[in-house]
Amino acid sequence: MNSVFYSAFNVAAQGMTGIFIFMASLYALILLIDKLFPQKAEPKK
Amino acid sequence: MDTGLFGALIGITWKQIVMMLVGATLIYLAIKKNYEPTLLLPMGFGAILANIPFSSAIGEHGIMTFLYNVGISNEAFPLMIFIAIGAMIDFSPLLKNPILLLFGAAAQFGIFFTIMAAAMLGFDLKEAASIGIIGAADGPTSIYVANKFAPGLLGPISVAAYSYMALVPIIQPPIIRLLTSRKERLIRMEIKPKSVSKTALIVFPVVVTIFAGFIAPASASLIGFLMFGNLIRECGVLNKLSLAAQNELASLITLVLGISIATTMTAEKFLTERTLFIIGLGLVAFIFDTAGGVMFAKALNVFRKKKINPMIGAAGISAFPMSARVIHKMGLKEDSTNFLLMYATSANVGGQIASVIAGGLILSLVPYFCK
Repeated sequence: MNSVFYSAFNVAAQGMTGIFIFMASLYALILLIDKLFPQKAEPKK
Repeated sequence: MDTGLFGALIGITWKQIVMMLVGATLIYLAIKKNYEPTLLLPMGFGAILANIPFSSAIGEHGIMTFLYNVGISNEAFPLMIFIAIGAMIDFSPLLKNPILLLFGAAAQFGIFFTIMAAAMLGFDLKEAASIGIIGAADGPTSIYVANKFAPGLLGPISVAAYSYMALVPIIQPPIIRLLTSRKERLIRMEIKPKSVSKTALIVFPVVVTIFAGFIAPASASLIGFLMFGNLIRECGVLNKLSLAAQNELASLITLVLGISIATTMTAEKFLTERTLFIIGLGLVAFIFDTAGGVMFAKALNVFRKKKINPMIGAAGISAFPMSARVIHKMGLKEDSTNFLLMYATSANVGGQIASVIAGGLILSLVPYFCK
């Protein structure tokens, strides 16, 4: 395997890990936003 | 250049004739098959214009070269398109089902697999990364990354990215059927009525921009412009600007984007063996994106009591809303009472964020490994 493939493998491994960490963190962030700014129930008429 | 009467006719090469036929094919696909006409038609026409011998449209004082320099080489056009896309996206389905964000991540697998495949085929790392990003299934991100790392490959990469996005309804179903059993495709998804507060929708684009900016600063302009467009949409006080971004801005930039990219579609740059590899690798990227999303959903189901229909994983690619529609239709074909659209749309919106983040991560990582 050449050094370009080795670098590509590293980019792929770190890129895929990075994207999962980002999206998992964003998931937690959305849950937090949902808790902090919940949708208020519509007043009953 | 002073060519005299019929000079262009005498000076034409067979490669330029082939490129004109490529241009005509793109126009045909855009009009007859409705394959991403907003981009493939201007690109097809631009390809013809750029390959007329001694064409005044390209070259030092050519209008197409001018448009390329002011809009593509400094990344202005793709970024402005992101404002328009941001103004068109409704993030509320994603905020209702945030777990589906992870499918957006999994369905970027094709990008990274293709980077390795391209490196194995002899492309250097920057070129391999530019080819891999075709798998983002997101035209502006592909253009942005390719222009940074391999401007010489921008033409074939753009053609591949937009063509395969149009072909999502043909590419995805066989891969999904191959990787799932009928029992899995029949998994029912219950519809949970849930609404998202206006404040959450306003806070979301701001928080995502700050968060993405800290993790991958190279993605700041990409995700920032996307979220800026979305903030204009959601704030509720800029309706006129939101509509202008969704309509006039999107139309104007798209109008010149395709024809500017065609500047790179000259015969000597486009008609190479590498173009064939790029077109082939683009398809590989889309196939592995779909496989990545489906396999991740299946893996998740091992640990979940309440199973997720694995077809939804395939909607994690960024091609919006085609992919969500494909999954919804496939679900209905298996069981006419199983409505997957809401979940597939959430995954699809997650894919839109993930593809931009993938672009940003590649922009950060590749220069580091090129040192």
